[in-house]
Amino acid sequence: MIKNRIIIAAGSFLLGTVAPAILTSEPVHKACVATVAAGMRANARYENVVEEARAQVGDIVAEATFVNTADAE
Amino acid sequence: MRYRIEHEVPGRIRVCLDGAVPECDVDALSQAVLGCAAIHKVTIFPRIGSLAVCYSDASCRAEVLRHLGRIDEDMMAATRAECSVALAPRTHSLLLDIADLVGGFYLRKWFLPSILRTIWTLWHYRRYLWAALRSLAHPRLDVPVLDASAIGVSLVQADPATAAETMFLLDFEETLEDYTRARSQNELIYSLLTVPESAQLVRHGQEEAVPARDLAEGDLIVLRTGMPVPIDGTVERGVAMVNQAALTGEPLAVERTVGDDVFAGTAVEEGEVFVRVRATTGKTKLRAIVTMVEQSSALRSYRQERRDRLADAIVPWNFLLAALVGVATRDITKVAASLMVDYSCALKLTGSISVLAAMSESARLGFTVKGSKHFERVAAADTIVFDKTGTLTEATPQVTKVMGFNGWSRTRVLRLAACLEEHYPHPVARAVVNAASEANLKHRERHADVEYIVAHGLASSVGGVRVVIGSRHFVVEDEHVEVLPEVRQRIMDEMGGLSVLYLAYDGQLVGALGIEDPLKPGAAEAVADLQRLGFKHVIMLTGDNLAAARRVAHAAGITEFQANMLPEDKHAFVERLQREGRHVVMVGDGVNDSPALSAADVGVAMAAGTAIAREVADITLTDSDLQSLVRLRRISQGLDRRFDQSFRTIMGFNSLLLALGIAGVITPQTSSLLHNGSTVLLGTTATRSYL
Repeated sequence: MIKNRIIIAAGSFLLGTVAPAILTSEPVHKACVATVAAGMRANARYENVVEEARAQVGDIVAEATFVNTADAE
Repeated sequence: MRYRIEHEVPGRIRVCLDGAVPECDVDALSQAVLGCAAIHKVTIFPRIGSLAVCYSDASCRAEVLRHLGRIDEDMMAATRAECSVALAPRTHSLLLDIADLVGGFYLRKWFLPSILRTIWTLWHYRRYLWAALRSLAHPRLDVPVLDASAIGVSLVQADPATAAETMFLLDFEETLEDYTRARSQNELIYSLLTVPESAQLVRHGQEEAVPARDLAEGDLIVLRTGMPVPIDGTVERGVAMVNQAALTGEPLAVERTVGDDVFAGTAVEEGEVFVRVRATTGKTKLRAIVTMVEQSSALRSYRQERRDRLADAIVPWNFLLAALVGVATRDITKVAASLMVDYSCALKLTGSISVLAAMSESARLGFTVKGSKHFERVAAADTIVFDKTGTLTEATPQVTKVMGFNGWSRTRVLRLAACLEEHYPHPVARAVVNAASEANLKHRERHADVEYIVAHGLASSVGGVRVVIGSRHFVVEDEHVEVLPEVRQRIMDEMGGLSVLYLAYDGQLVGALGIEDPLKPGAAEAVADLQRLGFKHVIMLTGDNLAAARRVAHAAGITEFQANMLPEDKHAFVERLQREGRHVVMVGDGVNDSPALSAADVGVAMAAGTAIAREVADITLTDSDLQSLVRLRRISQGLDRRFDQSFRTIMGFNSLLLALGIAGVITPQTSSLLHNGSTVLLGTTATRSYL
């Protein structure tokens, strides 16, 4: 357990030291932009799916209400 | 607008548009679609470019589709100008917000490496930590401190999963609370936006009544006693006392004269000013309404205040309990259990959501309540006092009888009366003007400035001769116009049960006009319902004569009434009732009711009432249906009951969770889940309808 924590702490220290240098390099910068753009596209698609589902649920509820009303009549 | 029908059942159509709807156009599109009278509900799905409309009657289908096809860029531009989206709170994105929250939480939980998840949890925790530090800096031991401590204990225990779960539930609760509040405010704002306003436009020396939204920059309008200020502008002529309480909170009217600015949303208390329009209603109306809605949150009820104070006061005891548990058990899990549960969130959330639900339901049902304390007072009231004209009776009375004396023909009497009365916004004045226009009587402005004597009548001069028109009290007693006994008898015989306006020219009675103001349909049922709902006294006050008062009171089923009342009498009467220990609701509409409206525990102004009455009133009806008062009483009593019920549930359930957590029966995580889950559930149930 303690060994694990030491590894995590050392890893974090190493990451903190070399991360700025890595992030400022051109290929890494491009990769980051591409990743974030992909994430944003995924998020937009996910939100579209949610909204489409919301519209479909509205259609289903409206149709069910109509069926019930028609049956009652 | 081009569209394709995506789904259809009778009464509802969902169409797909050519593309996504920009966020900033959602409100404008919604308003444009609702411009068709047959459509009563519209739901827009902006991201997928779709909208669903519900319409009332299957026969309207073709009309609805035609209307959707007619919406073009011009219509959208006009609607955009009317609804300034920047100010209106957004509401349609609740589902997306929740989807983001839930999706993000599970995405991190399932796919993010543990170390990155921990970093994310710590990063997210900083928001709670700052809020807690800000509270401690003040210094205050409140809910943010409690929340940060509860999450902090999980982090100290090296349990970031529980910390993330607690923060997720708190975020969820906050999103729901924001949405409910924004939705209620939005409904309130739009219900107020649809209330029509008119203005007296001066063009080529002639006055005409026009809808306020038709005014353009540079127009000249005239504002008189009791009128609303519908625009921003600069005074060019005249002096008036303007009540600006809605904007500045200053209860006393301020003097406005040449060169001064006046602002939309205020009202003229007394005087007459000619104002050059500087900013039109499109720019000002929403601002005035939003100001009112924002101020409404300041008018919190005593009960809500007490609950919030109690909620804050309990927090230090939570910490004390946690400390005691820590000392007694030396078990950090049990300490966490006692920090996880608090009463405060649920008490505050259900309190404010219950009130907002009541306010938005009120707006939907036809009345605007300016603050939650008014619900409390309506629920506690035992006496309701009605003004007669325009409140119990129709806001559009009619002239049914005209008499001429001393050689004056009925036509001449009506013409002069209309010439004087057309300058004032009062139902009786409108009745005289309408009667003259129905009789096709044209008149030229030959009189000098008209002086308005509140609750009495009007005085002016024609060719240097004094003319007065008004109540018997004003014309006969104040102006000392002699009425011979046989003339009085003739008036009484012919005008039995009608309200009478006396017209005198050069100190002589020359005419009398009989005004009939029929009882509103459903007034008697509304009075009976109010009595059933616990009003022990239903009283009618009127400046009218005894015979007219008796006729209306009898028809409405009211046994207590007072006739020949002046504004100060009405005010004194309401104060006397209060001294007797009664809780009074006053319902009125005119300038003359304003003192009584502000003196009563709750003042209710009718829709067609003057701006000044609406200004001083605590509650404004947006239609003239008296059943709105019955609904108001029911909602107020419902809100009281909901407060009591939710208080008992919150105290009972959370105490049980605390006890179970401290006893070690449930883990802090379960306790947190149940506590936050129950808070969200209680908050959601508090949004349910009252009627």
